[in-house]
This record gives sequence, C-alpha cells and structure tokens, in this order.
Amino acid sequence: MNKTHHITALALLFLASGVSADGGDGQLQSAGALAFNDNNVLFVGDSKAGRVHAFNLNDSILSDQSEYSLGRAQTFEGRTLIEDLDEQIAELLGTASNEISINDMVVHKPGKQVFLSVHNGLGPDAKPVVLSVDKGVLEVVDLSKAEHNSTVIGPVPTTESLEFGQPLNSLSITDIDYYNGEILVAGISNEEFSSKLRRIKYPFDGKVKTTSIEIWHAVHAQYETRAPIITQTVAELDGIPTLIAVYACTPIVRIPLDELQDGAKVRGTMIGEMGFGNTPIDIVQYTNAWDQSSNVLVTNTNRSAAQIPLQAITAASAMPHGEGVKPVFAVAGVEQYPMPMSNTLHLDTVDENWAVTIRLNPEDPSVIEMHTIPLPMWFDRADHVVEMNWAGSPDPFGYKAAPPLTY
Amino acid sequence: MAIMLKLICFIIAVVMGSIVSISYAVADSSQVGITPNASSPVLESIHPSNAVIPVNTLRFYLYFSNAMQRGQVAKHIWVEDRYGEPVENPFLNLGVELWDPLQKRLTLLVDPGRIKTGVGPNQLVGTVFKEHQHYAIVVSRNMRDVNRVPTAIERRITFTAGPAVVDPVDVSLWDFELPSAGTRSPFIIRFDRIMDVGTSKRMISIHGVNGKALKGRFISHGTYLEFFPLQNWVVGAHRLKVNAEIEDVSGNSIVVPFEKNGVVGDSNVLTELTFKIISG
Repeated sequence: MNKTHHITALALLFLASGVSADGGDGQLQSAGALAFNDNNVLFVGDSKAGRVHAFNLNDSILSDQSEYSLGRAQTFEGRTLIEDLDEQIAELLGTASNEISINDMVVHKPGKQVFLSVHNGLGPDAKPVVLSVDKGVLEVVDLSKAEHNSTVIGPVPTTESLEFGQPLNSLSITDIDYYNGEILVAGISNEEFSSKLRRIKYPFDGKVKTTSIEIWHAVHAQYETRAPIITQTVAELDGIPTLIAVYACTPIVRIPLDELQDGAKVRGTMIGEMGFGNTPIDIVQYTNAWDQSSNVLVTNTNRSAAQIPLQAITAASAMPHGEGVKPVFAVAGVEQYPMPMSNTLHLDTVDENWAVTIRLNPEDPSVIEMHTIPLPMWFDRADHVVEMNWAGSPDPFGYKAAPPLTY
Repeated sequence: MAIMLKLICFIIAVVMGSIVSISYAVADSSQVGITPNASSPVLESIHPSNAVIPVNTLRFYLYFSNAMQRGQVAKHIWVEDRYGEPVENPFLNLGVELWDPLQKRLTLLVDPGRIKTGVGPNQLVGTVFKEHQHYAIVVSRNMRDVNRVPTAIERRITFTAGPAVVDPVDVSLWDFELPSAGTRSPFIIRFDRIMDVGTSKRMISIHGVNGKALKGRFISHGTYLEFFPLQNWVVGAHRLKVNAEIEDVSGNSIVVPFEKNGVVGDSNVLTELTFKIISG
C-alpha cells in the first residue's frame, strides 16, 4: 500500500512540468516499445505510467558487438544468437518462462547491440526490465547508471481523478520512432477508437504535439478517421521527411511530417493495403546493399513479410476514394514484394547486411529464439526447403564450397 | 459432464469503489476437477450489460474481481452463437491486450471491419453479430488471475443483437433530471442510446455558478449517467460540458459517426448546455 502511495505521489509531481529528470530507473512502471536516437539514448514506452522515458546509455552499459559474428550473409546463413530465449530470460530473472513477456526489441546501431524490453510477471505489478545481449549472453541493464528523463504522453492520474480510485483509461504505446530530434509516439486507447499521433521534441521540453489523422481506408471503402497506428517509420521521400504508417486494418499511409502540427487534423494519403485478416507487426527501413535502393519491410501476423521500395512509396498515387469506389479485399496499391519471413515476433535491422528477429523456430514453433537474417533477401537457407541444400544438388553459387560455419 | 445453467438476474458489482447495479444473464458450467473457492477470480460484470445491444457494438468492457494475467485473452475469451458455435475472429487482433492499470477491466474491440456494413471484411465473412440473433461472450474456466488461480467456472454473458446505431451522438437528444438546491441528489442524464461507460464518465463535466467543474462522482450505467456532487447543489445556472470525442458503444462520437463518412474537424455541434438549479 505504501508503495502504491509512493508511486502516486511521484506521478502527481510529474504533472507539474510534464518532464522529470533523474539518474535512476525507479520511474519505469512498465517497459514496452523501444527506440534509439542516432546516438546512445534509449526511449522506452511506459504505458502504465503514461510516459516515454529516455535513458542516455553510457559505456558502462553499452558493449560494442561489431566483431561478433552474425552468420555468413554470402551463403545466406543466419545465426541463432539465443536459443530458447524465453527460457533464458526467465532463468536470468529467476522466474518461469510462462511468467514473462518479451515486449519489444531494438538494435543500438552504432554498436550493433540488441536490447529488449521484458516484463517479469504478467500482472499489474509486473517488474519491467531492459535486457541487453552481449556476445549472445543476456544481461539485465542497470538503468540507474544512465542519465534519465521522461515526458508525459498519456493519461496520468490527477488529484481529482484519484479521489475516486485509480482511473481506468490507459494508452497502450504501440510504437516509438526517432527522427531528427523528435520522437513520434503511436498508441491505442482502451476507451477511445482514435488515431492520434504524438510528436515530441528530444530533449523533452514538456510539450506534446498531438495530431488527429484521417485516412482513406480501402478495405472499408469509406473515410476511416479512427483506426489506430500499429507501426510506423519516418523516411525522406524526395527529400521530404514523411511518416509511413501501417494501421490496424492494414492500410499503408503516407503523411509529410510538416503536416503533423499540434491540434491539426490531417488526412494521410493511403497508398497501399496489406490485406484483410492481417495485422502488421513491425516496419523497418533498410538499404539494399546489392542495388543501393532504399526500402521498408513490414512484418505481418497472417501474411508473409512485405518489402516496399521507398521510391514506390514516393511515386504511389493515392488510392481511389469517394463515392462509388468498391472495397479492396486483398493486397493493393503500392507495389509490394513478399519476403520469406513468418512467425516473426519482433524485428530490427543491424546494418545493411543483417537483421535480427525474435521468432518462433521454423522447425519447432514452440521454441522462441533470437536469430539473425541476412539482407537484402531476408532469406536464411536453413529455414527453407531449397534445392541448394540437398546433397548432390547443383551449386551454382558455390555455397557448398564454403567451409562449415563455426563460432 | 454435468452442466448446470443458472440465471442470475441481478448482480451487485463493486467497481472502483462504486456500487454499480447491472443485470444480465450468466450461465455457470460446473466443471469436473476444478472447484472455485473464495480466492477464485470472478467475472463480475460486463458493459454493455443490456439484454439487447446494437448489432454494431464496437467495444465491450469485462470487469474481473481480481487482477488478471496478460496474454490469455485470445485463448480464453470467445463468442458463441445461440447454438454454441464459435463466431470466427470477432475481436480486433491488436497485438496488445487493453487492460486498465489494475488489470481488472479488459477492453475488447469488435473487429471494426466486420461491423461496417457493406465493406470488405463485412462482405467477406459477415458481421460478427446478426440482428435478432442471440449470442454469448464466453470466459473460460481457465482464465487465470495474477496468482494463476483460474476462474474455475465458465461464464457466459448472453445478449441479443438489436438494431444498429449509426448516428452521431447528439446531446440535444438527452434528457436530464435536475436535483434540488441544498441536496446532494444525483444529476441524472438519460441518453437516447447505450453510451460507452468509459468515455461518458470521463468526458462529461458539470460546472457550477462560478464556472469551475464540480467535484463529485460519476456513475455510468450505459443508458444513463448519475453525477453525485461532493457539495450540496446551489441555486443558479450550471453548465454541462461534453467532450466531442465521447462515444457510444458503437463507436459513434459527437464529431464523427462510426458508420458514415465523417469529416475530421467538423466541430459545429452542440457540446454545452446550461441548466438552472432551483430550490426544492
């Protein structure tokens, strides 16, 4: 009870400025969506506290993984960095694997190090932790060593609302993206069907720009003003910083960042449709090292991942809308290329040659593993039944001549 | 397996320190091998709790007695038709479960693509609910609280799908029961439809003669809302203010109806009313 009162008092204190700063991790009430800025600042979405935290990770936390082998991209061979990931996390935290949740994963690009947000426990008092991976070994990050501040983004208990108990409304943060000194935060309310996007400068100044976004929803064949964004990224399209967002019912929408002003109500341009009966999971940007093209990859719950060239997103016309337009049931609009990835729970890129996934093992879906995937084909030979894997089969690319991988 | 059906017509649920009266039908299926005890979690109530709800209902709230574990909803909550056949994919798969901070109240969003009449998913697999048909939201006996204690009893919340509600929320259609000055009797708003209990408690405020929002307790019953002030009512003009984003159970707000082409920014709608409190 005392602990609860303590947290409440802290929450009320935060309200005064909307921003808090300290050197510890005591403020973290939950740990969800993760993002890095261009340097060492790790953003952590804290839905329970209605905040986004920023931890400036220092050298005592970060560990450069550039020399750690992620596999052999030339022969399309990824590496399982951690087998039985959930079991290993549980062991590290002193609990059972069915008592944890792996909420998000992000790669610190400068050092190629993987970080995870995890909950120890599945109840309201679940203990949030951030883990790092150091040469295939999981470690709990001591966030108290990091410079820390945070900003309010969602409903936070007020003196008035607390008079009658803990408020019931909350915002589940679905994605955080950093671009050019700002973060963009998408979330889902448990009481409103809204499509509000929050835009926040970093370092935090206590101000949050909130924009309501209207989209044309091809599946629904009518204006859809309030579908929540599930995943998003910011890319420069012909030099114009643009939000590329994928919604719950899978439209792909393009919105110039300049339009996302505080209080504005904008209409995003729907340029594609990922298809009915499917939910997007992650969208990541990458450069194809073979042809230097810029692309995004979207992972899905019920369809294979889709690669979309940024050039195609730039050039795509708005999908037809208005009276008389028939609904679109399937993949449509901007060109998409299916990539051979499924059962992907979390995804991020490491560099031009590698991505890292948390996925269900292709041969035994009961096993959760952290595994690398060679780019730009998002293809690991061992995951698939392909002729080049068979003994005595042709080997036009010389894969079999390569020595066995040893780590 | 013996199945005992029992109709409970009136349930008193303690929700957030408020006593909320609701009525609905609950069927208990006693199961061999699992026996509920005093610590077993219970599904205490649901909103909307009406026997007949709009066929295009967007959102359900399930209130449990105990804090529940995350990660069970897809497996342990489903919808059945009157013949016990499961309704396919009724809820929107968001990747996150929408619990309140105490993890006692769960929000379920019906797939909006299946609600909207005449659109893709709706045409492909049909609406989740069909008008005039009877349904049950079923919570498995294996739904566990944070201590891994199962409910032990399967709960079936039955309702009938009624006509769709597709118009935007219109404050001018609400009726009001005014309290007398000198009392703390509730100010009652009677809605023309079943409102979302979450937003209707949070997005309505009553401002006193000095213009400040009155402190007090809102209790939402879906079709009506009660406001109990902390202080006695005083004589004079009061103002009712409604946030235009308030929603009914079908996701219609004042600004934008759920079913029709809405225009973002259309705020030329009634969101404030003045009423006068007089002596009793």
